[in-house]
Amino acid sequence: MSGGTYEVAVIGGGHNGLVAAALAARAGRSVVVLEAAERLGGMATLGPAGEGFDSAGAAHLLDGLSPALVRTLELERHGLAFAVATMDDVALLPGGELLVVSGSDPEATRRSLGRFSPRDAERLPLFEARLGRLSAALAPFLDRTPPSLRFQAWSERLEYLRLGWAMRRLGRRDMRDLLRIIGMNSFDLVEEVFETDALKGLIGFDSVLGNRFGPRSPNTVYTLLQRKAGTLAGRRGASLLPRGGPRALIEALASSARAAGAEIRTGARVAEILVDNGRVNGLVLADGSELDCRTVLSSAHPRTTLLELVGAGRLDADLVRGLRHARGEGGTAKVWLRLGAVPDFGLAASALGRSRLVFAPDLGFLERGHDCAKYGELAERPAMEIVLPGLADSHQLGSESQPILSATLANVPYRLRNRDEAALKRALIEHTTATLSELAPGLAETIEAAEALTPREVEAATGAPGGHWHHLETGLDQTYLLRPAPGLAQYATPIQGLWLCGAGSHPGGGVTGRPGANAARAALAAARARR
Amino acid sequence: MKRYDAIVVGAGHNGLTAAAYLARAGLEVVVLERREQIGGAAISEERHAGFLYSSCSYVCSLLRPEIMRDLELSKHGLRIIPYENSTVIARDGDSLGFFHDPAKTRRSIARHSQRDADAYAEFNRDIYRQCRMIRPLLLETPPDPTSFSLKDLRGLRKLQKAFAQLGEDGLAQAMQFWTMSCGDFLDRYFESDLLKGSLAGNSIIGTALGPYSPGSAYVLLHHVMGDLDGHVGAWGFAVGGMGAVSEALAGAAREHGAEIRTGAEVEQLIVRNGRVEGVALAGGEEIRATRVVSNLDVKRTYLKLAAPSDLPDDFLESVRNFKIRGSSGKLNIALERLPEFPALAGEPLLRRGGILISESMEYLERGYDDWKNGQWSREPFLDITMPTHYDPTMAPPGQHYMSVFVQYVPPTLADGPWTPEKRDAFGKTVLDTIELYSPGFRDLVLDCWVRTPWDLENEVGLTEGNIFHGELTLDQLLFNRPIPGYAQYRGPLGGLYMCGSSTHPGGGVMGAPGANAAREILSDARHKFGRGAAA
Repeated sequence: MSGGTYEVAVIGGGHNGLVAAALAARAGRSVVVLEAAERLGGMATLGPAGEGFDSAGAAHLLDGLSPALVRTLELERHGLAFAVATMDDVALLPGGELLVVSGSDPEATRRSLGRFSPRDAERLPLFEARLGRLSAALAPFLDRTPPSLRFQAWSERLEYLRLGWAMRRLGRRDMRDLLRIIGMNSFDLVEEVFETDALKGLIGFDSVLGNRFGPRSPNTVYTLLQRKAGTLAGRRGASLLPRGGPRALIEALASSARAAGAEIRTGARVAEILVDNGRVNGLVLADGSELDCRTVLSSAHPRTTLLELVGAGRLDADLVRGLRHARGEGGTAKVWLRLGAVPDFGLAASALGRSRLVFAPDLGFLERGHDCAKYGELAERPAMEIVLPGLADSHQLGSESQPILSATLANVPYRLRNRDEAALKRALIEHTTATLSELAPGLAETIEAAEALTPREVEAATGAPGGHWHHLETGLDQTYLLRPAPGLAQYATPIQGLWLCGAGSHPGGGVTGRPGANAARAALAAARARR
Repeated sequence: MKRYDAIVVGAGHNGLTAAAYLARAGLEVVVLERREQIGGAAISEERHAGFLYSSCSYVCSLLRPEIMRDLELSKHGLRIIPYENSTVIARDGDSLGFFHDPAKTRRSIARHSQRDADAYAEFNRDIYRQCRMIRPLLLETPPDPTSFSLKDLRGLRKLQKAFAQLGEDGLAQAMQFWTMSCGDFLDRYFESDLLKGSLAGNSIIGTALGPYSPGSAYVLLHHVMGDLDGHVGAWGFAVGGMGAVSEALAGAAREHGAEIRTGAEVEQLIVRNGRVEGVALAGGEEIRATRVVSNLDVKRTYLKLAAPSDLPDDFLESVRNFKIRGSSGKLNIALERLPEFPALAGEPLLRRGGILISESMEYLERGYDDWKNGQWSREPFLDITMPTHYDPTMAPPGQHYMSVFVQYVPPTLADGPWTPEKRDAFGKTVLDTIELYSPGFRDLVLDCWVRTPWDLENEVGLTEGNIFHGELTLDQLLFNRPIPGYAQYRGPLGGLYMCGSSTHPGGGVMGAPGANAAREILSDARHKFGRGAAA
C-alpha cells in the first residue's frame, strides 16, 4: 500500500513540527505532516476533555514565540492575534497582599514594590537591565545551530568565534558577570540583590518552572537567562495571551503550512523510519502503508525517534546510552477549574484578565516544594502560575459569569511514591483548591468542575516518554551543544536525511517554534548543499 | 626598623607552602600565626592524654607531588602511608569494599550487582580521564578570559588545549561533568544504592550541595583527583597526623630562612597610597614588608584585615557575595580498644581504611535537606577513619584514635546560634549513628571532642566552618575564584596577595594555591626589580 511520495515528511503535528513543515513548504518542497493523534497541537493544546473546558489548552501563555517566525510564516494573516500583549506579573501572598510587577507600566511596579522595599524598587529596573544585557548576548544563538565539539569544519570554528565575540562585546564587566552567574543558582543571585520575599519568590518561580529544580539548584540562573533571552527577542518582558488560546496558534501555523502547499494528516501514526545504507528511505505508518521520502524531520521526542522509530540497533552504543540517560521526567502539571464567579484575588475582573498570577511567596517555599517532588510527594501548597484567559479574551471559553481558571503547577512529582496515578490527579486538584481558597476567599464554593493533567497523561497523549514539557530538562548539562545528547546537537542524526526538530533539540521547550525552525533551516541547507 | 620582603599572614598549609617557596627564592619572609601552634586546619593536637588527634583535616591525598619534591618534604619528616582499602557499611549488616586489588573490588560490587561491577571499570576509566585533564591545571594560574594580554591568551590557549585533547566524547563528558549533579552522573552507571551512596559521598564532603544538586559531579572529581605514588584517587595517612604535613612545610620554610612567629595575630593591614606596606599586630606592634600574602579566606582578608575605604565598592560587594558555607563537623574520639563492626566481620581488613556511613543517595539528599532547614542531618553521612591502624604512636598501646567527619552541619541553626548544649546534642546524634553500626561502641569512648562549624570558625578561623574557604561551584571555580577579575592571587590593593583555599584550585590539603601564589609573587618581583633581583 503506498502512502504517497514526498520530498519531506514531518513527524508530529505539534507546533515545532508545523513550523518545520511550513518552512520546508515555503522553500518549495513537497511536504507532509504526520500526526498520530486525531488533533494537531501536541502538548501545547492538550486540555481537559470535560464539559465546558473545550478551548482550554495547556500552554496558556506564549512567552518565547519567535517574532521572526510570526513574520516569516505570516501567522497574523493566518489568524494569530494576541488578546493581551503584555501581561502583568502579580505575586499572590498569604494574607491577601499582592505584588504587581507590570509588564507595561514601570511606575506601577515601582509603587507596588516600594511598599515592600524602596531599596528593591530602586534595584529591580537595574536587575532587569542587567539580565537583559546578558541574555541579549545569548539571544541570537537561540536561532542558530549549535556547533559540534569536533572543532573541524570552518563553519563551526566560525560559530565558536561568534560566540566568543558575543561574550567579548558585552564588555569586561558584563562578561565577567555572565561567566560567574551562568552556573549559579537563582537563590544566591536574588539573595545578593533583593530583600523582598515576594519578589524573590516570583523570580525564583520563573527560574524553576518547567524543570525539576529548586531555586537552590545550580543552573537555575541559566534557565532564567534563557527564558529572558526568548522573551527579549519577542516583546520585552512579555507574556502573550493568544486570542482563542494555544489552539489558535496551532490553527494559524497549520493554515500557514497548508497555504504553502503542505499536506497535513492526522490519525497517521508513524511506525518505523526505513533506513537503507545509513540513509532515510521512507516511512512505514501504523496502518501498514509506506511513504516514499528522503528527508524526515521528527518533532517527536529524540528517544522515540531514534530508539523506537529507527531502532537502537542501527546506532552507536555511546549515542544510545547518552539518549537513554538524558533527563526528561516531567515535573509540571495543569489544573483547570470552572468557577461560578470571578474569584476574589483582590483584583478587578479586567485587571485579573491581564494578569499572570504567581503563587510562590518566598524562596524557601519553592525549595521545599522541590524537596517534596524529589521524594515523590506533592507539596501541600504547590507553587503555581494562574491565568484566567476568558476574562480578557472573548474568544476563549469562560466569561465573567463562568470563568475558567488555568493553573500551571511547578515541582510536581512524575509519580507519587507508593501511590497510583489517580491519587496524584486527586492530590493536584485538592492541593490547588486548598491553596487557592486561602488566596481567594470563597473560591472553593464556586468550583463547578475541576480537571487535572499529569506528566504521565501528557506522556500517554503525546507519546513523549516522561511527559516533560521541554521533552528534556534544560539545565546546563542538557543545553546548547549538549542537547539532546552529545553528538545530536546539530539537529542531524547519524541517519542521513533524518533530523530532530522537536523540543528535545536546542533551544528546547516552551512554545517558541525555534527548534522546528532551526532544524528545518539546517535540513534545507544540507539538501541544497547536496545538489 | 626591619623590613621584610614578604609577610605571610596565617601558618596554614598554604601559607607555609607559599613562605617556603618565597624563602627558597631568596626572599626574606616572616609567617605570622595567630594561634600558638602552626598548621591551621592541618594540625595534630593532643587533647586527651596519650592521644594525638588530626583534629581538622584527617587524610592526605591531594597534596601535590610537585610540591613534595620541590620542598623536599620527605627530608623534613613527612611520611604518608596509603590506605589499603575503604568500605561503606549498611544498617542491615551488609557492606561493600573498595580494595587495592581491583579484582577484589569487582567481586565485592558484584555481590550487590553484577551490572554495577561491570560498569565500575568504565566509571573509573571515565573519571580518571577527567582527572588527568584537570590535574595539570591545578598548578596553573587561571587565565582571565576577558583579557587580551599575551599571558592570559596563552593561558586560555593552554586551557583550550587541555580540553581539546579529550576528543569529542571526552569533551562532551567534561562539559556534563562540570554542570550536572553527581546523582544523575552515578545513575548513568550504577543501580546499587550502597555503591552510589558511597561514591556520592565524595561529591558532598565539605560542600553545601546535595548529591542531586547540579554541579556536585565536579566536587566528586575534586576529591578523587589526588594521587599517591602515582595511584590516582589514592588516599593516605600522614604519620604523626595531619600536623606532620604542616611541620614538614614549616621545616622547609625555616631551612630556607623563613621566620615563623606564633601567637602573632594580625589585626590590620598598613596601607599607604593604595599599597600595602605591612601589618599591625593585635598588641600594637607593626611589621613592615614590601608585600603581604594572606592565607586567610577572601572575606577575612578584605573585610577584616583591610579597611573598606581602601577598596572599590563593587569589589567589596563581590567579596561579600562570595559563598562560604559551613556544612561539616568533626568528632575526634579516643577509644579504649578497637570497636566491632558486624558488617565487617567477614573482612576485618576493611576496618583499616575509611569506613563510610552513606546508605544511599537519598540518605545523603535528606541529610542535605536538613541542612537547608537549619538543622544538622538527623541521619548524617560519616567518614570514619582510625589512623592508629597505621600509626600506633597516635594512641597508647592497644587503644585507638577515631576521626569522624560529619556532613551536613549548618553554621547556624534554625533556632539560633550554636550553644554548648546543641553541640552536645549534635555529638550525640553522631555517636548514636555509629552505635547503630557498631553495637557497644559508646562504651569504648574515653574522650570525644565535638567540633561544629562554629568551633571551626572560632578556633581555626575557617569562615562559617567551611573546610574549602568557599563553595566549589562553577561560579567560584577557575577564573571565577574567588572573584572574577581577581583570580590571579592579586587583589585591587598593590602588594597584597592571596594564597589560601579561596583561590584556585580551592580547598583540600593540596598546597596548590600557596605554590601558585608564590609563583605569581616571584614573577611580579622579577618584573619590578629586573631578573635576579628577587634571588
